Amino acid sequence: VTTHEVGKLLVVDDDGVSRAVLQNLLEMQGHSVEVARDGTEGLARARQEKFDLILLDLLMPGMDGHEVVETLKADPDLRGVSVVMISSVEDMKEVVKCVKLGADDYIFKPFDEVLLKTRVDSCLERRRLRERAMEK
Amino acid sequence: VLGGQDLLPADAASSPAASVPKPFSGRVLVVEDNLINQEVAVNLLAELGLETDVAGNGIEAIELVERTPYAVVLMDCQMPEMDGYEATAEIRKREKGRKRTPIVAMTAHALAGDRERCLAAGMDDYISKPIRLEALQRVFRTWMAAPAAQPEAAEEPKAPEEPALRVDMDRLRRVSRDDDGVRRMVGIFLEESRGRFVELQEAVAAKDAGRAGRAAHTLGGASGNLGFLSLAAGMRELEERCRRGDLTGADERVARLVSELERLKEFLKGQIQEGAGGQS
Repeated sequence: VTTHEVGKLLVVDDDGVSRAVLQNLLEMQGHSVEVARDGTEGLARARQEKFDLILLDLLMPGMDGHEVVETLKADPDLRGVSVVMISSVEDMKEVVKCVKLGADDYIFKPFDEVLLKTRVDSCLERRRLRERAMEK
Repeated sequence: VLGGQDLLPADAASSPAASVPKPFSGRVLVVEDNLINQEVAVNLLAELGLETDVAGNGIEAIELVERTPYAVVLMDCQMPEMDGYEATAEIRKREKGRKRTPIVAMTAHALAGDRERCLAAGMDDYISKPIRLEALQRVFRTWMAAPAAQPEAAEEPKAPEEPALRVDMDRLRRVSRDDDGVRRMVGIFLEESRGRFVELQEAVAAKDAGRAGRAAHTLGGASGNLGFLSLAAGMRELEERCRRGDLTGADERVARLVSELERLKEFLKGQIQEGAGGQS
């Protein structure tokens, strides 16, 4: 019996290990997970189908996480999706910029399983409450 | 009648000869598939005044040990066809009831669990690669001084001289789900790290600290995520230096990290084989 929200998640990261680790950990928590290997592919996937949450790497070649958040939040169809930034501790300043742009939360590499679960759960919970409030 | 004994020198056979330093003598078998490593070992042994035979694989080693009484066998653990663990087990099986040949493992990695694995396979001691003269001297002092009298439980092998490879196997298993997952994850890591290491080497050669730092950053992140602790720490240190624009000694650091990756590969190969063996 799952006591937490399960959702449809998208992982966007250029590092294959990071994608595989996140996919494993999140699937073990009951979520359905898809992956994209860069910002452009991530945005394309997000336009194809509706995700509850995107885990987005900050530093990627080509379109980086910052640009992806900017694009997502400027698009009326995509604005509602929750975003959790993936970064290392050293890139805190960049993460803050992304949060200002509308990212919901962040998680550091290497991933701590407990923090990952907590962050994802609370994002999905917030989203559910928000949607319920909008229905009323 | 017994008076003549007084004229004899002190009984040489019962004196503690082991405590008297003496040059090593005897024939040593080196079991090693890599030609360069073979040559290194033979040269070092010649320096110690020892005669050496070389076997290129485990099967050859078993045959040679049957024919020749070796003072010590130096056994590489990772070899194609038949590895050092299997070869040792076979040698132990065949020599049952006869004199036990001291077998010393040469391992590329230096983990606590490694020692147990070597001892469990029937080896008596181990040294880490690259092999050094001092390590050989220690081993020969232990195993040539009183080769026949050594019981099963030998003296504790000394801690390896190299900085230990640190791997959090629990972490690797947790993020990989199961044995198949571990195999897959290690495959992804090795596949991706190949290109990133090339990138890192090129960037350092081109004195491009920014590019080198980014490559080290990604490699460090991936290593950390999979519990490859010592590799992750080395990458973080390199990344930090690159951030400060400091590339002094960076090529040496990268070379060390490359050999660290090699040790990690060997170690993971062993772990994965072990996991597969446990299932069958």
